[in-house]
Amino acid sequence: MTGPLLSVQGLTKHFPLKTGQVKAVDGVSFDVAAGETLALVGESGCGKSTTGRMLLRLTDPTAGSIAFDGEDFLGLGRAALRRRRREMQIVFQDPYASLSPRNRVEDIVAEPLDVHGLCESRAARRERVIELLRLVGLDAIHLRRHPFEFSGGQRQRIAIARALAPQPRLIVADEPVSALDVSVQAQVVNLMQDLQEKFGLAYVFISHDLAVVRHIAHRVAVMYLGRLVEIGTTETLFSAPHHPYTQALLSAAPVPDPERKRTRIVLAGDVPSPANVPSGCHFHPRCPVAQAICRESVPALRDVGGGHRAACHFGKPFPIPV
Amino acid sequence: MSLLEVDDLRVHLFTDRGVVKAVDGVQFSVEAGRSLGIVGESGCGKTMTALSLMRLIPEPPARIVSGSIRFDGEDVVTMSPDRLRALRGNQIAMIYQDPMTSLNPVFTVGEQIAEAVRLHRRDTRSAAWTRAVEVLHLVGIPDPDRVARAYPHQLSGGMRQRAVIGMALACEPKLLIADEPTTALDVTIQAQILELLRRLQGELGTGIVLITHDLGVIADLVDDVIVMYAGKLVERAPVRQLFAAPRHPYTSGLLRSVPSLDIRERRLATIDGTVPPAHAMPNGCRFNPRCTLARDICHEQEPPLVDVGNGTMAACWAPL
Amino acid sequence: MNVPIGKLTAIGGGLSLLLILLAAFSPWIAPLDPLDQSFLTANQGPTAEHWFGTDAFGRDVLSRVLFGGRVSLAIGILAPLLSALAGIWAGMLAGYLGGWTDRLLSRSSDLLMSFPTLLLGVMIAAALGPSFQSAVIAIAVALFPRFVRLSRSATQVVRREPFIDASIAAGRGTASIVLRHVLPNIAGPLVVALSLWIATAIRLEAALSFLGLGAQPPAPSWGNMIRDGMSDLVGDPWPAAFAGAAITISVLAFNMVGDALRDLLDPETGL
Repeated sequence: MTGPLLSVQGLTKHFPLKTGQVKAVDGVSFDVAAGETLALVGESGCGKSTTGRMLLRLTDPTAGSIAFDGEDFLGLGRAALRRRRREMQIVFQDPYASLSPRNRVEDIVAEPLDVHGLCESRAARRERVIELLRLVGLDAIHLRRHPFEFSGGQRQRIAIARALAPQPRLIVADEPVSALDVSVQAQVVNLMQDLQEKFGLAYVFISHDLAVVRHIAHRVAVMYLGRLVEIGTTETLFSAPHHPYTQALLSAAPVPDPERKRTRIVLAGDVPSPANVPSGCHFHPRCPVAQAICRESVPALRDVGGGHRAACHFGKPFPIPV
Repeated sequence: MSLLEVDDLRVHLFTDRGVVKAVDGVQFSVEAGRSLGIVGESGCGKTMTALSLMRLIPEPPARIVSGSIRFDGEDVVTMSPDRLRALRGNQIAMIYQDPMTSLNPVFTVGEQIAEAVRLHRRDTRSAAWTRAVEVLHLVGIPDPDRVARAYPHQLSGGMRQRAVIGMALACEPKLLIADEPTTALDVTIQAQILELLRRLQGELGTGIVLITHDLGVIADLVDDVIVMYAGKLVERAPVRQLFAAPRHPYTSGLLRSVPSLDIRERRLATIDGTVPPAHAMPNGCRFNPRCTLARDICHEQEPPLVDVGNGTMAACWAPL
Repeated sequence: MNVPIGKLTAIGGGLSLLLILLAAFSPWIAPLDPLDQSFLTANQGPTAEHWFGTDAFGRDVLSRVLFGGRVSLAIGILAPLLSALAGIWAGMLAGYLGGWTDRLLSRSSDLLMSFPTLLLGVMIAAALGPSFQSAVIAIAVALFPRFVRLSRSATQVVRREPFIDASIAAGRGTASIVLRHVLPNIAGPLVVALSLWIATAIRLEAALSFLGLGAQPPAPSWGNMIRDGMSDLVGDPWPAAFAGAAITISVLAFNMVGDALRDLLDPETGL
């Protein structure tokens, strides 16, 4: 394997409005290596889900390029696109809505197999579905059941089995554990890690939950209002966040430890609407260290050492005000 | 006398498929100016417990079959509808997960708060409006005059939740029930709302019952915690005690399954299995099929809630 | 599965089936020829010989109600089925594809919807000339925009479900998604609507025949029986009364089927 499995350059999505447009995603670039987990984190409206959808062309980008395995993914024709989709699958947040309520588990999991004609016979199809269900910790007795007969965690396992069916190399997981209870969430996170080890899967893991991201991701990309503000390995990003937004995000996450009365960076104000973004650095109106330059010019994503990059005019780890 | 004393509360759902014991023998109390967190996973009965406190449970199918809920000495369970109405929104207020459920889209925020005030106080329109602007200011909304004249959809999620909290506090209730008040909000906004609730509790001395699945929020805000599992209260403890030394295996499992922000575990601890379906509860302790420490007695007899020291009560035959 | 749904299904379904069977087998069931006239026995009330009495030409009302059911129910069922076949596909295309396909289909069905259903039916039937076929076509066209509208809006809801995205991501093509995922998920409300609109179509057929635009005499239909009976409602109310009762019972029965189906087709409450 020479290049990255997935390479995204200047990915942009603008949604037209009656007046102006929403820059949902604004020039996002990153790579994902085979077998690696890249987390996309940020708050609602930051464009992380739209980015995830564009990776699979569920939403068409306005600009930018996506290369999968070195091949231009956006230029693919219909037939070639469908073939490529075998190799990249998606798992959604809401396991109640992402499984067709009228289908039985067997047909849900077998859908990618059917579409790509991957099974010779009905017997082979059933055998493969049972194998997939076993992989995600479900039993063959569940084959003939409907989604509503399962709990949220079990449904998410079914969704993962479906994603695994065509033996993909990349899975985009859009908030896959956010709708689940804590104890079940841990089960699904462990399952995803086991599967990654077993099959060498790459994940793009979209989440707002920093603790889960810290656990599962190899690298983390932080988004704010459509732009990437920081990207680096999980270790460096959590131990030495360079962007003030990343720092605020980390300090705001509630920690289940009452002994630790942390000093929070409580950001003033709300996330501005993506339809009306601030000039310069998008974060400047809420930034505790903003200067005049932040209003005027957009900071580039600069290397701050060891491939860790941050889009801040003041590219150094700021001391978190205590 | 405590502000709120709940004793042996049982709420059952009478459905076509049989009786579901949604809340089965819950007891706790909240002192004035203190906060209690009710934590548990979906279906554990925490929301049903919260709704019972104001008798807001959907009847039918739900019914309070036994127990008492004493608010300021008065039993809510046997209270007359008139008395109940006078209490709701006035002495006990509630905020929900989704602020939009408490706001009517066709009225301005100020009108709705003023309306809530006039429901319980014989204020003039202008006095009620002044009060509305005042509480918007109290909950930290910049430019409360303008926001009072805004419609809910013109506000961001965080602002709406502030407005809803303001509306709940408008009549200076003694008790505030908050059902997942920050779950729908972004992390940075959640931090703002938690700060706000903490500040208001200190300033106004309101008792708070906070329902959440988020152990981080619990650790952040409350004084005492009850942990619920499958309709049962499994553990009750002061917050520090609970996080430092959980006594019920379920509490312990729950705490360990939360990934940490500081260290990276190789593998997350989990609680195997899933919550049993409501109409097929196991005999004995309801947690026994998922408990690694279950013994014979756990399959046979329900453990009573007993004092296990350090201010902790646990319903377990073999507390940790 | 609780009792009320079961009862409703049994009564509505049983009644509808019975009506259809009676109509279908009327040549074997009917005691007399519905066209046989006899002035000796004209305008009689119910007797042992003529259970439902006779009309102005002395024809047996029971036999005419049974034979009339063939026409009325055939039109009442055939027309909505044809309409559904065309309307559901059009609606799904409009709802799924959006854009100009949607605009074209929605605007044209809105145009049709702007006429009252009965007026539209009357206009079409009058234009085509009164006959069985034109009644079917008129009613089918009159109901078409309703199916388009319902299927379109149901499709728009399903279109936004993540399981559709999951299916696209799995590599499925548009036509296949519409057939495999959209149709089964919108089928519930559509089948319910179909049975409710069968009831509507039976009423429409009666109205058209009443106006002389449906099946042509002497062949009986419930609508033209009422029309004939109206001329002497005081002297001999029986033909109109029994034909009217047949219409009422059919409409009720298909409405009950519709309500019952709604519950049965839900995978969570269904059998």
